Amino acid sequence: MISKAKRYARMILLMLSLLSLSGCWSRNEVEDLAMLTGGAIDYSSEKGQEKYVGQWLIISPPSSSNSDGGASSSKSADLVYKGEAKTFMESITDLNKQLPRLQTSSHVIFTIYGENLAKTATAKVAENLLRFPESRPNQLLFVTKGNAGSFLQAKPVLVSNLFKQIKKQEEIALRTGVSRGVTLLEFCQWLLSPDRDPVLPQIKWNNGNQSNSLLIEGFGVFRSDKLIGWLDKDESTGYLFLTQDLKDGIMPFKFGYGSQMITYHVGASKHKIKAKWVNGKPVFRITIQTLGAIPETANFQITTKDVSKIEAAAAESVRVKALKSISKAREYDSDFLGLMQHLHRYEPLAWKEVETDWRKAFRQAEIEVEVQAKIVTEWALTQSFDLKD
Amino acid sequence: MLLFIVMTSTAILFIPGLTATTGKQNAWLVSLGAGISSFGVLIISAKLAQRFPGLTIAEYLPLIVGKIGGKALAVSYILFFTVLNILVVRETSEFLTVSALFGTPGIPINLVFVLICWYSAQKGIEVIARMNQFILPLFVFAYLMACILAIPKADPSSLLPILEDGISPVMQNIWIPVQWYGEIAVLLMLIPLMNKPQEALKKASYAVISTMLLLTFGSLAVLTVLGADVAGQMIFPIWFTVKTIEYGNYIQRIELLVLPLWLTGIMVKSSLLFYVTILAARQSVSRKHPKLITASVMVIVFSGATFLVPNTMALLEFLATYWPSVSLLFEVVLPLLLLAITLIRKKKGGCMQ
Repeated sequence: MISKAKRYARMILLMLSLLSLSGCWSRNEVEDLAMLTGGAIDYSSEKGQEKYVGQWLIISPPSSSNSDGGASSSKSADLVYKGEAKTFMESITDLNKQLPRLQTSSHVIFTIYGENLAKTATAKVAENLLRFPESRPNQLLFVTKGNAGSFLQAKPVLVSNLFKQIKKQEEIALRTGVSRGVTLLEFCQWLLSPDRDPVLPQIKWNNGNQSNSLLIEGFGVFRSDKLIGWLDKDESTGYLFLTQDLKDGIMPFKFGYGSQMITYHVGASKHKIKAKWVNGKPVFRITIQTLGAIPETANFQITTKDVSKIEAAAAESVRVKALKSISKAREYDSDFLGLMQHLHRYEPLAWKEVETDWRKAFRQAEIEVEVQAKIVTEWALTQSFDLKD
Repeated sequence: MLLFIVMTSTAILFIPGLTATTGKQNAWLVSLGAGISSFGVLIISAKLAQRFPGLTIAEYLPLIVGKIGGKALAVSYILFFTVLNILVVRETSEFLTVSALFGTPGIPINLVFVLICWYSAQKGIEVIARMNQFILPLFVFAYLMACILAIPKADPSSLLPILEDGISPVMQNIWIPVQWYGEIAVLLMLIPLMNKPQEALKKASYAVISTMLLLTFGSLAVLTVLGADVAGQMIFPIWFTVKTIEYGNYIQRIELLVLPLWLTGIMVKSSLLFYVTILAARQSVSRKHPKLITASVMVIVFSGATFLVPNTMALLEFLATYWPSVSLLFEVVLPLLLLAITLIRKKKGGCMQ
């Protein structure tokens, strides 16, 4: 009898364990999901009424994109859907009304903030994105002038989907020194840190009108959680040199040499910040080292004697951009360069003195930039063209 | 080995978040310091056990403080282990509902979890130990893999400045992780079951040291990858840290590979707690109805884990504010008192093996 009872108990246990094998409670098969791959969120508030408009890219499943029988369908595989509501969460679930599948945000690659949203409700939306268990910490954030929605209509070029294009373009933007991708995690780190202001890369249309080509160029600068201004191309390059160690760069810098303009092609750079506390204000000494080539010499013959002269001129051209970026930081009163963060980390005693009013300390800070540009090659030619009259 | 997994499995989920909230970039020092101070707990438990070889705490309590007081204390210890177990189960289901099984109500998770652990606890200590032998390498592997893969994402300078506000905030926060380390107090019940009780102190200190190293390593990974500011906002920072791991299109979304291994670790812990509770209950309350006792322990833990805590916010508040003092009472203060009493009264007892 006992053995029988035991056997029953075992059977029941086994059956119960089957419960856990059948999968999770609220499981969804892949066929029932609509994968969001990117989004653009706009925000407006009129008469105290907030409105979030989220437009989301949904990757269309292969079966429907091949419905016309050929693999060579010219249609984009992306579908754009729009959700509107008074809160952000509601605007996302608003999508579901229009779709036969449940949307999931676990594959979101990028999110674009509209200008209004970035000026007013950045922190709210960023917190929501981070709070949602499905969201990925590595999704990219962008900001744009005006409304963000239209960017999702862009036709991807050379790749099949818009999210692929944006992801690749962001990598290239870093190499060419015009912008760089900022992940949700990084943005939240900056947002929450007591000593640094965030930036987000700017996405825009070529020539300003809604043509076919997307640009990722420049940055939107935040002060705390409010968008307050923009960095143009030169200032963005300066920002990248001041905050990042770059490699595999393809960044051209033009500068005058003699009567001609020539180009310094930067391949790699390193930066070093030294913070000091002198006479009640912080002094930052930033050294940037660059390695590069002179591929365009305007038919000069460069000799070893000239190199140091050209290097100095090239360094100046890099320095000018860095200084532009710093003066923008002062203008916006936003320390997106992370200088005060550096002070906090390496000179904690000095930070203690300015902690309560660190923005004032940043305004008073002395910032010196020194650039050491090195020219290592002039590429494949040893002799410049020596033309006959 | 058993002790190691007891301490690490749930601690790694909660400690980085709880300590980073207040300790900021020095949270890793907090886990390191707590590890060192938990040696105190270990030594107390081991000394106490040496005085009464072959007896568990439920058995020698009456010998120290008399029959009635001993029974009362033993019952309170049983309650302590039960509540600890309730918390473990609840933490697990919280973690699962936030991470993988989003949307699943806690009841089925708790039920399945409790049933499995309870079943293995019934099979005795040896089964749990063997289970642990199998799971531990996987657990450590998953854990280290997660941390090591996250290293390229790490920014060591986010640990600076070290000890910004001096050592005192670190010292104030040490008592939060100490409760997890203090779970080594299950030794009070386990030492008599060891093959070589004399070596208990040595073996257990290995466990404490390895736990300390692993937890500190984990805290470091969390702090360098997420930064103290973000980590302090999170409920399970280590989960989020693993989510950041992404290498091209190949190695990404590995959190679901790591998750089951963590879960099995917690399972061992819960089984052990079940075992300890049941053992203590049998020894001190009644030897007559073993089946009734084990069944009621299961029901209590399950219903406690499901219905006692209304929501995540309450659980976290309880863990951070009330639980430390309660657990420290049972893990440090009471054993210390008992040890003092035995030393003064020069009591010795138990069967010499």
